[in-house]
Amino acid sequence: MSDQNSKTIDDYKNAVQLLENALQRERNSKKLLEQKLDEKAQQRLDENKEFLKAYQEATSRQIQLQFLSMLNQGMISDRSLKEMFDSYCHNLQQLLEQCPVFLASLTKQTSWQLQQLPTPSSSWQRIDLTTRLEDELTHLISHDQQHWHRQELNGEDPFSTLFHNSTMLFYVISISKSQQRIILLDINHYCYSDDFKNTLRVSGQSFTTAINKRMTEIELSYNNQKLKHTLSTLKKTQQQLAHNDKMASLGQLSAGIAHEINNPIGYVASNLGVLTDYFEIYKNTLNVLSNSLTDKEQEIDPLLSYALEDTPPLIEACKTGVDRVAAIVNSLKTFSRKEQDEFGEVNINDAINSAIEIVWNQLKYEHQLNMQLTPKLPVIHGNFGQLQQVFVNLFVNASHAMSEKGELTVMSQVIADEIEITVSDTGCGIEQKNIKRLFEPFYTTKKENEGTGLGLSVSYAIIEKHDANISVNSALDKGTTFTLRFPIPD
Amino acid sequence: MKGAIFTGLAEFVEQEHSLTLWLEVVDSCTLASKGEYLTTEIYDDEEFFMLAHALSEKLATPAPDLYRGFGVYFFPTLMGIATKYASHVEDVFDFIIIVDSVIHTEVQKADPLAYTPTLLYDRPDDNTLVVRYLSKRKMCHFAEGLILGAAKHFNQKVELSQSQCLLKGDDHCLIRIQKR
Ligand code: HEM
Ligand SMILES: Nc1ncnc2c1ncn2[C@@H]1O[C@H](COP(=O)(O)OP(=O)(O)O)[C@@H](O)[C@H]1O
Ligand SMILES: [Mg+2]
Repeated sequence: MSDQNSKTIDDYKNAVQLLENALQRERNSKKLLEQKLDEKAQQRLDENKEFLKAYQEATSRQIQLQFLSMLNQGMISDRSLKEMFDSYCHNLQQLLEQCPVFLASLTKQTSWQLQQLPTPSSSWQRIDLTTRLEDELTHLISHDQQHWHRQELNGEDPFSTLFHNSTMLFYVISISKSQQRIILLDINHYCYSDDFKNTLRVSGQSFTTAINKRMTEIELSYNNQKLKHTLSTLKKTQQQLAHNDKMASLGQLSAGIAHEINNPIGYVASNLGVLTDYFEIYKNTLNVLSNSLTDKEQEIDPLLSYALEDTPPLIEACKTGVDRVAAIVNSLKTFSRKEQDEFGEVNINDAINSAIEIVWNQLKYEHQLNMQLTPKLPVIHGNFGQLQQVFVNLFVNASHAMSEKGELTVMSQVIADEIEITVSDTGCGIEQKNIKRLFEPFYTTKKENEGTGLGLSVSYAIIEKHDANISVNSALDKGTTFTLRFPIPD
Repeated sequence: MKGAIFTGLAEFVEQEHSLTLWLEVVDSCTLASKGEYLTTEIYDDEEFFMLAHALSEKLATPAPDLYRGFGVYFFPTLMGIATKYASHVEDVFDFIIIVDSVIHTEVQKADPLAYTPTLLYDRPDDNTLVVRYLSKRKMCHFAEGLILGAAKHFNQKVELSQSQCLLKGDDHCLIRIQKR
């Protein structure tokens, strides 16, 4: 290297050094300037700080409120539980980047069900449960409510086969003592702001509150229904009890009376027969004697002949009266009979037909008979004579109710596991207020000689013994229908 | 993007390589700013990407490594500004958690034109922090570098992995930080 050259290199070195120094100075002064600018900015900032902070808090509150109000729309109170869970799960899915949502339901504390909502556009899909999954769900349900819980899934976790991601968030909701649900979220990450996480927590709590509220409503209306039902059963039972009470005391009474009355009635009836015979003898004897009497003696004759004439109808009336008393006493016996005497297979159609034969002579000139009996009815377990008595009572009542040109319709048919018999007339009908009293012993609207008021109460007792029931439907001036239902024995 | 990031990059290249490399790189790019950066000003993001791209070519270093390296280098500079917000912090996770809610928020307030990424956190257990990174700039590897720089600052060892990444077309980056 020449001197000339080395001088030049030294000069350059010198120049570079100077330039580097100059650059450093420039840099330093630039930095100083920038720092000043920053300080200015900081000053401006401090003035605005409070305002900005308040603004930021306000906006995050607003986002939270927006989400919660969206949730609330899904919780309006006329929604079913299913709809509420549906709506909440969909909202969660939207909020958490369309993550798959699972809903596990535990009913009766033992049986699990699992459903999945894989994407927002899909609908719920059922998932078959393994015992491992069930055990895991049973473990999860023991976590406390009101909090989102989190579980990181490793390969051994039973859920790892169902989940796309390795993070599970779950929330336990108890609907009732026997019903619980778990909402499970299959999330890719849980990197969210505190506000967001807080919103999620609040949403869970307000959802639980909404569910509880809905449950209370459902329970209230259910209890109300139950109460109403209980009340009506109570009323029915009360009526039944009152009725049974009457029947029972009548039973006791009639057992005693029937015994006491039967004997005297028996000899009154047979004595009346003997008296009739005796009277014939008196009459014949008087006839013979009267021929040999003097005129004077015959002056008493008009009185005597009047007595002679009047006696037979009097005795006849006595006989009718005694028969009637005997009939009543006989009816009373039905109440006291406890044992199921002579029960066997009975064809109800036969009982109806034989009853018709008994009463038809009374009716045929005034009324029409319309028989609609279903042939080949199944037989029932019962007493033919008693059933016949029931139908006679019904037919007689019907004929009493119809003035003239009435129609009596008798139907029999099988409905489900019962035989239904209806006896309809086109008579006067029964006032609503009297329907309750129909089956009361001695309730009658008929004249003293026509009705005893025992027909329907006796029939009722018989029907009860047959495990059957009787009901009435009546329209004033249109007619009355009695419906009887007999169980068909298996 | 803030001029401070550009001047930081220039310093990084000068320190780790040479001033001339930086001058060459600036020359090789057509820049609206002509490469004259003031820390307080805001410059087009595109300029940064052009410079970084040219650098990675010249050095034959993959871009992620370059961004990461720059992040580690740049952290102390940023930390210098932020000490007053983090004076009580002793743990790298505790620090990273306040970056979004405190530090970047302050940056934003000081310069409304500044743009900082959104960072969201999840701490599944004591030794793990997951950072969700959202930014139009997709500079997750720079973020990784800053995180590594922060760990260095607090004298803690961490390992990073990304399960999702904006650069791969995902909706966000998920950076998992594991303490060792
Ligand atoms: C580990 C901690 C940190 C991480 C992960 C982080 C992350 C980032 C990232 C990735 C960017 C690039 C912009 C983008 O991606 O959109 C950025 C920008 C920025 N960060 Fe941070 N940062 C951290 C700490 C800090 C600290 C301590 C400060 C100090 C005040 C700070 C101030 C800034 C500034 C000023 C910008 C530029 C804003 C702009 O270009 O408008 N950061 N940060
Ligand atoms: N088919 C009917 N139509 C109208 N009223 C009826 C009918 N059946 C019964 N009744 C009413 O029920 C009362 C009670 O009937 P019942 O017990 O048979 O006694 P009785 O026929 O001796 O009066 C009757 O007096 C009558 O008022
Ligand atoms: Mg009668």
